[in-house]
Amino acid sequence: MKHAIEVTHLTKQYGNHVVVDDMTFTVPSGHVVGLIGPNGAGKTTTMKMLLGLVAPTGGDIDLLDVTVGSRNWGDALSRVGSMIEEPPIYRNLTARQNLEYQSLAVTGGVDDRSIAEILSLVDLADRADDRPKSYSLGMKQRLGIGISLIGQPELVILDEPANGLDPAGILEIRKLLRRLPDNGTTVLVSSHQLAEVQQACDQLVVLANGRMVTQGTTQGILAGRSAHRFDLIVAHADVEAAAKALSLAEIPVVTSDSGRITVEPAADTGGRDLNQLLVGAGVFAESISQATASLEEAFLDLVNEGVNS
Amino acid sequence: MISSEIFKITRHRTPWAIAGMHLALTLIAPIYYVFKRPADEGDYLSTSIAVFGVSGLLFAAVLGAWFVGNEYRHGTLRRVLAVDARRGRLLATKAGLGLATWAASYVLVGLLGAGAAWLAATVNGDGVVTTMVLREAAGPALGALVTGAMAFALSTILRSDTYAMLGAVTVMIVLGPLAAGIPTVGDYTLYAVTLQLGDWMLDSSIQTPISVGAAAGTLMATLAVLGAGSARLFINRDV
Repeated sequence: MKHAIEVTHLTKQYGNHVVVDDMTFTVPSGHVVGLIGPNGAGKTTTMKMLLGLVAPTGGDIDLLDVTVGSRNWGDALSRVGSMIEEPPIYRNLTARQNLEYQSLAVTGGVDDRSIAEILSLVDLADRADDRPKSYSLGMKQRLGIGISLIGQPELVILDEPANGLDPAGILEIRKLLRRLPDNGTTVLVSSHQLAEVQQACDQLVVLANGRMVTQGTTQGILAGRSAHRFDLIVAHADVEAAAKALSLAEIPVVTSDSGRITVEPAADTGGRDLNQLLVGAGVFAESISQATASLEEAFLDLVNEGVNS
Repeated sequence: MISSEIFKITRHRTPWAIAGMHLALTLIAPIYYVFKRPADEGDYLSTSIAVFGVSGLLFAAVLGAWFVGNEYRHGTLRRVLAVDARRGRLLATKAGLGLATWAASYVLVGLLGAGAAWLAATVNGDGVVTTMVLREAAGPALGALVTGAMAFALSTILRSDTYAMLGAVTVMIVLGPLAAGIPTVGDYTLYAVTLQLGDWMLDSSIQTPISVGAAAGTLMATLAVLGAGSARLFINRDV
């Protein structure tokens, strides 16, 4: 199976309001894929349609090679773990009972060993017999993720799993997500925490205004957004001279901070040209390197392009 | 699906708490009579049945609304439906198990209440009058069943256990009696037909405003429409 999810011309309309507009993307198997976009981009609605919780107005979805809504769809659904909007926790049941219940619902039985493994994986083994009422937000999120892992699903769909977590909690979730493909599990995760998405996901699907703006590897998307930017490191005393030389050559300076100057020259200007320019001005750069855009920068560029297209 | 739903019902506190509160209220009269002997031996059971019946109606509304409404309120229904997409089967399972839970709880509380009334009478050296017990209990049981069924259906329509419970109780206790004053139409409301059937079960020779067949038919038809409407919404609505 090449793709865990294939979405083709997916559309969702409420009255005249189009929430998801002719969206097409794929989620390759065995990867952690980030679904990112601003509020109202259609992330949660798309995830709900993948799980059959929301009926599409148009388009097709193939989930684990089975078309959503088709006869065999139930079989595919039983191989998918999910957490949409909030952790699906019964507050009056303990964490262990929550997992036992989900195990019964997914597999028809309770496998104590598997539940112990999941409790350990989400770091709740010590609090397994407490009711989630007394849990912190991060613990509830972790239990929600644990629930989505019941039955060793081939595909896990998580909507904002790091929502409301502190940095330590976010780090734990990231580590957890990175481990899942080791067992062959594909992960589709939506998030507003772009720095986290950049580190946790190797593939991205970027949405804006209900449309898919771009899809590709995280590295590829970032490289595509930073190919014409360079970081110049010069001595503090040379900053003024370097800035003057760049200005005379009409090379835009993006940022300048304590000897680190980021420039965005024309496409035909490379690092060697910049070095020559600086040497000509009597400035010897300590280093000249191609800058990498942060996912925030790339995301904003992409979303703006998506909105304006 | 059935085993996981049974697991959930038996592990949750709510059904147990409802049964416990119902029992506590039902035991008030027998305990009171231990300390203050009733004027009539028939009161031992009839007072218990009256309290059991009224409180049973309220608790049936809470229980009926809980099965689906609680899942909507806490967002757990999404996960249930994302595991198994057979929504009609899920609703039928919940309705069946809800009915079974209510019946088991109702019968158990009723038997314990009757036992307590008998014990109170024995302590006082009296006997209990049992000739009309089942007939006296049948009307309230029907009222509780109808209220619980309505709360269940409303919880799938309103997506809230609180509003469903309040809605069912309002229809049965507030709007029903008010509507009873409307000529003809007032005889066919859910409240009116349930009351008429309850009266008929107590005394089959009693003269009801409409025939028993018409009352039973109206009750069944109303519940069927409510059930079909709520099921249709539950199956087709976005979650």
